[in-house]
Amino acid sequence: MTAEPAHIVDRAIDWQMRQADMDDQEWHAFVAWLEEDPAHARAFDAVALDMALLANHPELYPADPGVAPIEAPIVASPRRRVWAWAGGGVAVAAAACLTLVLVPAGGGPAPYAIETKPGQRQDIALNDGTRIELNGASRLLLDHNNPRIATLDSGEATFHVHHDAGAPFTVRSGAQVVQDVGTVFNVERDGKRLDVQVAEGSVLLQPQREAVALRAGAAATVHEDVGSIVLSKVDVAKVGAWRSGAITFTGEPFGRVASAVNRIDGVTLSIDASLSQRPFSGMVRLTGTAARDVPHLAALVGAEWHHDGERWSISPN
Amino acid sequence: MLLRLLVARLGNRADAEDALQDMWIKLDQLPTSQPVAQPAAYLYRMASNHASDRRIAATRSGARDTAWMEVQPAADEQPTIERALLDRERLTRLEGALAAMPERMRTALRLYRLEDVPQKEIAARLGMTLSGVEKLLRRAVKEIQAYKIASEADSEAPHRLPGEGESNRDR
Repeated sequence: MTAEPAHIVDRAIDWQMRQADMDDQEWHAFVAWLEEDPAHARAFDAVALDMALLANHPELYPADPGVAPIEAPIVASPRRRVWAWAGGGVAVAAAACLTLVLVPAGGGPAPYAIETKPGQRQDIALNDGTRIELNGASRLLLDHNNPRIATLDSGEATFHVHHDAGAPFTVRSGAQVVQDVGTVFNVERDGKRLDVQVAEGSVLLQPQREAVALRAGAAATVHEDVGSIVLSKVDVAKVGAWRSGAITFTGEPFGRVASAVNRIDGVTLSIDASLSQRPFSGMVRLTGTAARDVPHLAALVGAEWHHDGERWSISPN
Repeated sequence: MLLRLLVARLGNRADAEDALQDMWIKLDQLPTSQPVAQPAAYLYRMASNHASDRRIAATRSGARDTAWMEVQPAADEQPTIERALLDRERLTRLEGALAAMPERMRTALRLYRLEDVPQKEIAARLGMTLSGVEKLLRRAVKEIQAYKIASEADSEAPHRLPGEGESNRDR
């Protein structure tokens, strides 16, 4: 298809930019213009779709190098507008335009960070009734002016969300978005990998894109580096099991235990390359004390452990 | 008039009626305590946004195969996986257009669209006049359109999505 003539595109942009404050008369004029020529409608459609997507896909914007000083310090993705998507399909959007118009603009984003040291843990109660348990070595961004949004920069957290259909709770991490539909769920960030496990209710993963619905007992692993989502099942009783020190493996690389040890025991554990990729299944219970846990882990895979003051390591015999 | 707007945006009457229906349902569920300043304009705006969202939803359901998702355990019970893939081409083009933009323009656009900052405040933050911001934003939108045309000229492949037959999708 060929592009529309430039003057039509200009006009379409004009209409788009004015939509926010057109009065009754102008809307009539707008409709008449759309009807006048299919090319008008096509041009406007193109502009309107782009604008809608620009409002909903923070990941499209490149991270500006050396963040301009005019911007708020943490600008990763503070959003006041929460769009409710009803499980994909076409029912999707009506709620969206409502929130778009109704949510009062009161107060811009006022992000603040909660950070835990390795081995430390923190319970966070938001004033909407939502409770968040943050594992060690984790960093979570919240917003004073919007209790319905959280960004997990690193580490792991279990969310007990106070559900409000009108204002879904949204967790972001990297380019991933998880939106609750009445829920207890766990989110874990490990480098380019993100794990989401649902214990109660359900969540939408990437509500604006693939809108993968995860119900209780479902888990998703996103590998951002290769761009894949793998779905699996999880025992709901084991979601967020880190809170009692339990780490479950289902054929995953043994090396992943290092992150868990860092968060819970607060020490740095390095695992020899030959072991870290080995698939491992089973459950490990961490006590919070590396001196007890590391030898136990080493024994599980038939390896040796070392401790030199600060660092712990596991290597083959 | 609302219906006319929806017909004009969606390209056919059946979709438009459907959309209008949706809108009434949603209106019904509105908290009544919310006073609306200009009811007519409000409804138009709502219809217009609604139309855009439906158009996006339409491109989603027409999604093609992508390498993006490999759903592993097709085990009996994952009925909830609605894998609607959004029109990734459009997103990719937008991404490209944004990357090609001067930084200031991109910042203005981001504040305006993504963060909902009023134009007046954008002007203050960027040290510009209000009309300067207006022009900058217009140019940004224009560049995006121009970028898409240029990138389409490069690839001869047809961009029409299946299942998008009679709607008024362009290009």
